[in-house]
Amino acid sequence: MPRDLVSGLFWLAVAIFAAVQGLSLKLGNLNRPGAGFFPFWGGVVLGLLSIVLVVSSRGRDAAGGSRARSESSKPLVVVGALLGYLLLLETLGFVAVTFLFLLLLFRLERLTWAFSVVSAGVGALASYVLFQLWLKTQLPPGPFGF
Amino acid sequence: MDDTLQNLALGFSIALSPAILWYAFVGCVVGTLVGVLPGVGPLAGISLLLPATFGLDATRAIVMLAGIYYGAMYGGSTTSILMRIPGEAASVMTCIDGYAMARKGRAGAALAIAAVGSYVAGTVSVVALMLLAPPLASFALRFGPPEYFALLLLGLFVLAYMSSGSMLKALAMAALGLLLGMIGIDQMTGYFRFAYGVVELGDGIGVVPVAVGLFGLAEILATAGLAVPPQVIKPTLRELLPTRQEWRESAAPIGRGTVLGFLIGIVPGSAHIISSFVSYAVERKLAKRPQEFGQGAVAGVAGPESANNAATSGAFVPMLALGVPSGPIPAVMLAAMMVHGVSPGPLLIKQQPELFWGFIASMYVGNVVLLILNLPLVGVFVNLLRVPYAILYPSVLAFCILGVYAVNGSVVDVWIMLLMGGLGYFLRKLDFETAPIVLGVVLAPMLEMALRQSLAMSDGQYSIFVARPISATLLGVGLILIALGLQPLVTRGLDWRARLALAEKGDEHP
Amino acid sequence: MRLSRVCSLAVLAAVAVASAQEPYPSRPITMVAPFPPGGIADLTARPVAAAMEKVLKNPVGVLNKTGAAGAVGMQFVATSKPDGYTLLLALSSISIIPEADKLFGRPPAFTVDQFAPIALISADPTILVVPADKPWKTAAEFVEDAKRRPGQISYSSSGVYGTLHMAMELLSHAAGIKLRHVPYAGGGPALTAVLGGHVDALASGPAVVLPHIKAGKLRALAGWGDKRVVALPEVPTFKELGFPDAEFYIWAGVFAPKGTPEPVLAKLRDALRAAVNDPDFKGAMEKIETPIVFKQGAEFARFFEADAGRLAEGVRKVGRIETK
Repeated sequence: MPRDLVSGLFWLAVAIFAAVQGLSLKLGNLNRPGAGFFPFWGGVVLGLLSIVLVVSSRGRDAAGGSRARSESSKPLVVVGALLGYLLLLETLGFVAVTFLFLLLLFRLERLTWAFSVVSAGVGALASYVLFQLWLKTQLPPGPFGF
Repeated sequence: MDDTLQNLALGFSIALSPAILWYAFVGCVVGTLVGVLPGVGPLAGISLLLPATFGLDATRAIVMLAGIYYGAMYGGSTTSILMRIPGEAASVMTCIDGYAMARKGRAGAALAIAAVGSYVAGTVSVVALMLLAPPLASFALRFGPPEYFALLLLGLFVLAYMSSGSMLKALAMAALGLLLGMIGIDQMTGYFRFAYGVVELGDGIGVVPVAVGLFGLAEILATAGLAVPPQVIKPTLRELLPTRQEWRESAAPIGRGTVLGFLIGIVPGSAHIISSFVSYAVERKLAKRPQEFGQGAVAGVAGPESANNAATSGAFVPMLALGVPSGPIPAVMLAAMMVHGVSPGPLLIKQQPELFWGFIASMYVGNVVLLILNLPLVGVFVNLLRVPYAILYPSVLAFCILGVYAVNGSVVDVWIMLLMGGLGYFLRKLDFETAPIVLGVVLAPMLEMALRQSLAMSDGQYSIFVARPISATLLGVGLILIALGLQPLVTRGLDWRARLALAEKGDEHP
Repeated sequence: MRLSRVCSLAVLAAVAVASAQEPYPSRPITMVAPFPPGGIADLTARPVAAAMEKVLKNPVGVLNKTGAAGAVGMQFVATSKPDGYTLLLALSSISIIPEADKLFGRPPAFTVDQFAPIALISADPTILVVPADKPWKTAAEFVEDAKRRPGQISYSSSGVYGTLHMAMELLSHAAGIKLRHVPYAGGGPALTAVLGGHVDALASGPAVVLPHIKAGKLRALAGWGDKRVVALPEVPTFKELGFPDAEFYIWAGVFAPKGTPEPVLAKLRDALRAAVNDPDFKGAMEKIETPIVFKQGAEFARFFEADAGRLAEGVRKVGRIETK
């Protein structure tokens, strides 16, 4: 797979998007740059760079795929857990969600149930002490008042 | 000079009084803890803890806030080195070589050098602050938008030395950072850019969520994906301390970083962020073996860490000498002074000598406290790496999320961090470096604002940049740098095969 | 008998429900200051929050939500849950921003009627300051010079369509002059700019510039109020100088999102009335030299409407900032 080709095309799309958005704001001119001036020219620069990237990627397709790829699906699970964390944060409250999140990941790492529950509890408690009691930040509380 | 000594004696008599000493100590401890929390940097720490100082008198409050400020600067390097999570924008550069050192088992050395570098930078720049504050402050005020623009343009040259891979990709990533930095409401016209009705995006995307995502989260995702978990590093006592060679290699970078950071720090605005970027670039340019940068070069830790601490003191120059809110953090501290009935203005030093000199002396004391506090902590922090990764990374993730959320109380910031984490993960696989993105996000909005303000000042005339002596000088220096840098830049821009050949010849940096 | 039993059960249940509803306030209140730390909104919000904290016996934190002359913070509060836990300490710009949105023809970030006014805390006329080394000794000289050189005299502001911008625009219009506007991101940077001589003038609240006037770095030329500023008795008002339309106050008032229950609003009004009479609060406002002007309920609503009308007119006169 020519990785630089794919990424280059992706950046090109991003660049075109930015430039079009920049145009729809006011470009202004060199002496009075408007709101769209920097986004437009930033998009143009990124576009040019990605074209160079796409063109120069053609010669080294072979080199592209040489990397070893022994991957597990763990990053995906972790990202999923993070998403869940975010979605539940403002409904369940941060202490409960932190506990569930830690429990899930500890279990994913095949730690024992007992160990996982205790560690997740300690982590959640630590987050409460640090952010609520000490820093007095306004993390979302849950239905139980914490 | 006699006056200064007398005043300093007055200052120390205040700073060493048990009550003040206690608040300096508390400030340092609290600051260190805040700094260690991922995503919570000095500004967030000070803002969160400001109300706690309202009950104190002015001197105690200021001493404690200053302690939190530089305590957080010290602490910010810890997570950068151990886990590649920048606590604040200023320690982004420390992530690169500091973390690389930790991976090679030199975490203790990196932490110790960061602490000592910060101490030297902090102490030297307090001396400079004490002796030079009034003249330097009036000089600093001459930095208006054109000078700021010229300074930031200089900062852009950093890009050339920041990446060790393909120049083309580094530039593309900087351009991407620029576009990300454009998100939000345009301060000059009131237009909304790339915000699509998301309220919180109106204020732009913060550097901290971007950096924590691109560096820290991406690193964790990549490591969690490894079939074999990373080996637990078990450092021996000897490995905690820097070797003699590491000390030798850090001495000059610490000195240069101090001077550079202090000078950039006195400029009003948020430019102090770039001091660590510039320092990194300078060290890499001057290094005998620049190829080590990115692989755990000790100078890449010593320089930027010293620079960001010196910039901290530098930022106090216009604040104390003129009562000018010279940046977001000095502005909070000025507010704290006003709340205590101290009117911060050009007459502060004359009218409130106890406050000013007590503050100066407490900064000496604070730096000593931080050094004493941080060196033993090196051992504690390094032992964190003994914790099995399976336990370490979920906890770190949870604290990243909570820290980033807590700063603005906004879930949007956490989304940004998550998206940036995903982006960073894929970029690693595609051999893109992420540091230039952060540079773009930091520099582009400031650069744009300064350019447009300058043109508003001059009614669209570019001559303003050469008509003003400071900006003309800075631009001149920039031109010289371009001339000097052009040749290696050209060779670095070549195809990878040519670069490889050059690297083999060992003369990539003539 | 049985009926009364049922009745008493029902009463019990109702009591249980009522007590399950938390008494207000039972958790920290956030007061949003939509400008950066060190600015006027921030310096007012902090003592207000501290005094309220004492009255309510409940933490009140100040949150600086900054951006685009305050629009970000105000929109944040406008869309917050109307439960009394998110309050806004707004400056005059609260009525400018929806007007500016209208001007650009975009969906408004918020509208004024998304807020329930609680109380006015302070009202301070802006004053015109110039660096001490600039030639103008009086406001008349300044206006005359601006007439001679239209668009050549520059001023800094806290942001486009922000309060400090509007004050200058009202003056420009009243005096028939044209000035050059250089927006900054907040009052602090705008002050730094005029102190550094990068712009020629600034309209600012007296408190922020007073130490610099005393130190001889800045010169006050005139004020926008209908009376002279107490701390600067020798500085005339624009009204005295024959520009009655140049009237502008930086006022600070507390708002809640519309829909906040009346009992909560009443509690907040009471808390604020007690707060402004708190000796510590008075001391704090004295220290930042800002006069306390307390209005609540209908009185505040009237004041707010009159001011909003003046500013809406001002925004329309400025028009859209286009880059030609």
